[in-house]
Amino acid sequence: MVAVLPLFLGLVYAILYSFGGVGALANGFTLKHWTWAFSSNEILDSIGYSVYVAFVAITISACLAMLLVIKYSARLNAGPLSFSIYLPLAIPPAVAAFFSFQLLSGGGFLARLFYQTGIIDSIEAFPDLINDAYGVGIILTHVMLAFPFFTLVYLNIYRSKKVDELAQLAETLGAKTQQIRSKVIIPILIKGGLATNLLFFVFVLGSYEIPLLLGRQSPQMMSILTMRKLERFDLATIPQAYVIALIYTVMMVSFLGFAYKRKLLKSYAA
Amino acid sequence: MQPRFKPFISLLILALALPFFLLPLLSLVTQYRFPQLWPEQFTTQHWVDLFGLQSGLSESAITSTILALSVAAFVTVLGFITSRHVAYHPKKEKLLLLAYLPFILSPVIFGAFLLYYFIAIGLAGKLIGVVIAQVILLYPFSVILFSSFWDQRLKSFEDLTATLGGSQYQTFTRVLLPVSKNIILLCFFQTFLLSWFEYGLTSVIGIGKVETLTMEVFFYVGEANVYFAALASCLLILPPVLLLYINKRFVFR
Repeated sequence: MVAVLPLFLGLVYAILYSFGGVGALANGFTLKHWTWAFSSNEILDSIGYSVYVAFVAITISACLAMLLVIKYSARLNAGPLSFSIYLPLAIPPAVAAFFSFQLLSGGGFLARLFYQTGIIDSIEAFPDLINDAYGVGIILTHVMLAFPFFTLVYLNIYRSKKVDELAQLAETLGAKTQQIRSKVIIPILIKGGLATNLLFFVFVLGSYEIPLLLGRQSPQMMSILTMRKLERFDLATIPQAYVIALIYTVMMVSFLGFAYKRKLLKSYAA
Repeated sequence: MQPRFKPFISLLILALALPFFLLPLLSLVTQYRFPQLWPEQFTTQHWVDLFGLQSGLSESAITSTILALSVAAFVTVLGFITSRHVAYHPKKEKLLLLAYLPFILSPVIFGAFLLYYFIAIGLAGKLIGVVIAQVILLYPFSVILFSSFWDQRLKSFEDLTATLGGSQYQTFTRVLLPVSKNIILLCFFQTFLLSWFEYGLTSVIGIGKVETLTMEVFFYVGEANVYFAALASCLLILPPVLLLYINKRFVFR
């Protein structure tokens, strides 16, 4: 109850606010904020953009992590890589966003490196990786944070499921290297890491600090759009903020219900 | 075959370690103009100011430490006790599903839902308010983390102690606590870090008045003061790196 009651009370307040029941400018029950939500492209764009960023970031992170575990599992068990892979886990999203800004912006470290090595001849020649339309900076920063974590999860699965032994068995039975990877190793890693991938997808979908610093005005990720509407001086946008927050919550609860029904979160709890 | 992959591995190690080189470097710089790759002027003044307690950063570091320690302590104790009841409850799966609810929401949106009540009871903009908000957010996480720990083997230990005449208190202090030392430490470390890393919920419930280190990073970025933002970032990554080292070296070998 301690965990769920505050959320329930918050939801009640948000629902009332979105229907004009409470708030500084409330004039009684109205559907206008919800009508705005379903007729406005702003919310649809925001949902699409959030899902796109989360999907691309998680897919890249999972593929990189899988590649690393399959090809270099020995190096992940001992040596400098076995320690270095833990390092990004010590970086908060706020710091990761700031670091990416210093690394990827027009005047950043990479642009300086490219300039000094003659790859570019002016600051303008460096591509827009920050505050860009495709969210490249946001995606890369999420990959930087998620990929080492996924690597450790997959490495753990690799060890606990004795994938090496299974691969040897498949080889003995005549399977080729490509078949061993695609029919034995990858399916085991995907199945074992699915819950972690799904939860990370949800975290990226609701991320705030990284798109706050590296995103652009339009489209915005859902949490940014919600806060922009909530913190404006215009009181009329507050009900819209609650409408977006409620739509986001419905999406997350539906996801949780789906994951529960399909027993997708079991491996995470274990 | 291995040496062929060395450049890729070396590049990867370099990339993983780059933030731990670039951020301290920026915190020691007074001027860093494009297109210089290596800064012109260095100073230790930012760090000296910090240790001389002359900057707001040292206060923020203390606030962040108090906040993260209190939240981690509360959440670990609460989660440990609650998870035991949840784990042996006939409706365990449904209760755990409920615990996932606050856990999967964006902290900033969770904060937006809670803000009205925190303003109403006078907790918005206060450290204690942020502590309570973070406890509400992270408590389900600790319950989920501990829930997989309580199994039939542990229940058998408890039953055996009771059969041999041990009281509930003795079972708790002499059996359960020693057995669960590692997972309690893990939960404490993880919730400490989650609280230490937190920005969204703190900014909403703290309404800009509770200045933690993550808030300072954004404050200095907003002021275009890259060097102090880098210094705040260094302070933020220092405890996690230390905890990682302790974790790897001593606790979970």
